[in-house]
Amino acid sequence: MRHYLSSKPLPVKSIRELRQQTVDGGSTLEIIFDLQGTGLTYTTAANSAIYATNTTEDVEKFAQMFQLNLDTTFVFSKNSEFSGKMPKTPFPTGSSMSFREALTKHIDFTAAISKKMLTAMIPLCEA
Amino acid sequence: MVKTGSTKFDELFKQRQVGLIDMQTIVPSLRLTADFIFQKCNLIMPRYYTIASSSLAHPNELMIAVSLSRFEVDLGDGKKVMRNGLVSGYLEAIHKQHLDAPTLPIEASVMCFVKESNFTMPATFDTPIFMVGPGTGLVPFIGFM
Repeated sequence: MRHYLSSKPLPVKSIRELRQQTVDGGSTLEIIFDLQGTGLTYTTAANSAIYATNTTEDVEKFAQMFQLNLDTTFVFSKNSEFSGKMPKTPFPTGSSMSFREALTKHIDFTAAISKKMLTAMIPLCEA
Repeated sequence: MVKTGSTKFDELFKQRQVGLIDMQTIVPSLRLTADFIFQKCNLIMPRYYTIASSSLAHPNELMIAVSLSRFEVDLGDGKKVMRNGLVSGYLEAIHKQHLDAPTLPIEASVMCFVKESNFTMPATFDTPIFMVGPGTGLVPFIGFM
């Protein structure tokens, strides 16, 4: 989240497919971002870190599955009584965010489920 | 529910590439709450791509090349779905939008930051270099050239 907050929205200047109809069915996209006015600079062969978002279709499907109202807003606040280990990437605190925005920008729907997360889900299964 | 310490986990979840969005199909009794989703579930992490453009030649442009990836998710009972990699699907959607209206400006911005790498040019241009890279591994050399 720290990195997300320091990232910048880069306008896409051009996007095109470099390989088409390859034997392995693969394809490669070339994307050129416009840095003018963004304040972002780089050095040759540095790494760019890209944040993708979930599709509207997936967000709405997910919300329907778990009966979430996408217009609901929430604020994360620091719990002064919490003494455990803080997650490495907590949400920003202090600013309001809708479920729609949080699900679209921040929750990974397709990453493989870990054993740890599966274990944490057990109490949330109805008998 | 599966005993998470068993090989059943690999068989039922890992090998089938099950993600959060598939969980209710696999476990219909699951009722995720907003608290759980926003406090426990994986956040979208950035994916890193080597920059293909030269900062000397194109200081106001940043070019990357992304190999599109797809994978199959086995939802059980013979149901399988093909899914795009997160960034692949995201960029492919922008590309498709552009193909649908190629004469219009591209109305899309992508959240990005830059991280330095250890992959650098020699200090002087006189130093001979031998460049080898498979597939999109060629990308940083485009910037070098």
